[in-house]
Amino acid sequence: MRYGLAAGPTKADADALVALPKFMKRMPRVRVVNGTRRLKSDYIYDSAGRQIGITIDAHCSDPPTPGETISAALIWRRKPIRRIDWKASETFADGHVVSGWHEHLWDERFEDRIGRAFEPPAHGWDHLEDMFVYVCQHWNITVLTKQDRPFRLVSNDGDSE
Amino acid sequence: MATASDLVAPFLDALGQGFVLAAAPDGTPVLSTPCRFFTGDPVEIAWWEEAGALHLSDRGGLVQSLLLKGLDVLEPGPNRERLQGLLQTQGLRLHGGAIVASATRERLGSDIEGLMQALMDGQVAVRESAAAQVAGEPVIYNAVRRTLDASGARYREGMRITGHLGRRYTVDFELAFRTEDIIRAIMVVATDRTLEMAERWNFRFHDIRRARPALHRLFLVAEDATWSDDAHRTIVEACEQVIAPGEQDALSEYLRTARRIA
Repeated sequence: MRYGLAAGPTKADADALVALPKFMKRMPRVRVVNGTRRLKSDYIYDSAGRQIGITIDAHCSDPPTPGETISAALIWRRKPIRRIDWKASETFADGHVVSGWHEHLWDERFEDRIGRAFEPPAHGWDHLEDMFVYVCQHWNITVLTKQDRPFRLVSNDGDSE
Repeated sequence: MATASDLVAPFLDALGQGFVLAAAPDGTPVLSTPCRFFTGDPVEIAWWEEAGALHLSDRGGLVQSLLLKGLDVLEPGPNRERLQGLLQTQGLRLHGGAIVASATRERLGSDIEGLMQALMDGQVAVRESAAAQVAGEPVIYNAVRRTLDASGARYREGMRITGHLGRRYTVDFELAFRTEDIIRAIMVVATDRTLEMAERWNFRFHDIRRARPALHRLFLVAEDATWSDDAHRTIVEACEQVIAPGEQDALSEYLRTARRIA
């Protein structure tokens, strides 16, 4: 890992980081600051226990204004190498148009102006914590409990995924 | 309540091409506009009625775009104050992460246009003013003086202390590697843009330490700052990496005698 003056991430960097099995040592606490609920990850490690310098930042207003949706970003070197968001209509740089939930990807040419549709869980994600755990799983990040057991998303009727 | 189409349809022609009507996951009508934030995300306007009044919001788009460009306007601090001040002058308010405006049915089209214009102006103004701001030198010098005085060190006024959030970072970094006779480096975290300062300097010291293990380091933190949890955690970790056990004494000795410690 190089620090400092290196150029921005490439598509290969971003894809490799997302594919890499990772973990964080505990579920971060939700902070309420200036009318916003915010969840920022603690340090994230690769499977060898090395800190890899990526963070997840998810937030929504508290209470949310009508029409507002939760968004989450996976940040590396201050760049959002992955991002999940909802838009009525999003036109990506390659001309691809999506409506609704979508995931921004990353490449060195268009940065995060490329992406694809994204399917949220069938039971939705009404809470910031639900979305956080879900996107962690989506980005290959295991959230450890004190017992070192991975969090599992549990739906309202008690069935685990 | 009227549907989205009922309310906005009369104004769509006036607004122009590129507008798309939809409903958010909670059913609130949303208008996607052809305007874009710096991030490339479209500006989207939601509207709803509450207590007989009509309200508009940007669905958190402006704050999100600033966050993604490294300007944290959610946490208390100058960036948020700057944004709030700017919004107040335009009759808008910040509700959590969303910009909210009042509107009327009769003037909904021009109210939407006004909010779009305010969002475009806002992102430019906040980013430009933040880019022009550097860590306050008086704050940094005072923090350095306090620390040196507390350790009983002798020093000369006018020593060069750098660490702005700009090009001078690069200069310092390369200089520390290239110049053999530099044996002292000072890290300062002042009151402004704390997390960014802490992270950048932490990375910097990490590399310098590996390249020049004999380099003496001094870590200063402005005591009167309000730290976010993230900034605090980063600073604590940076301190652990920068100041090895016993190193503070060696540094104080060097500052007192101006002799290099073996």
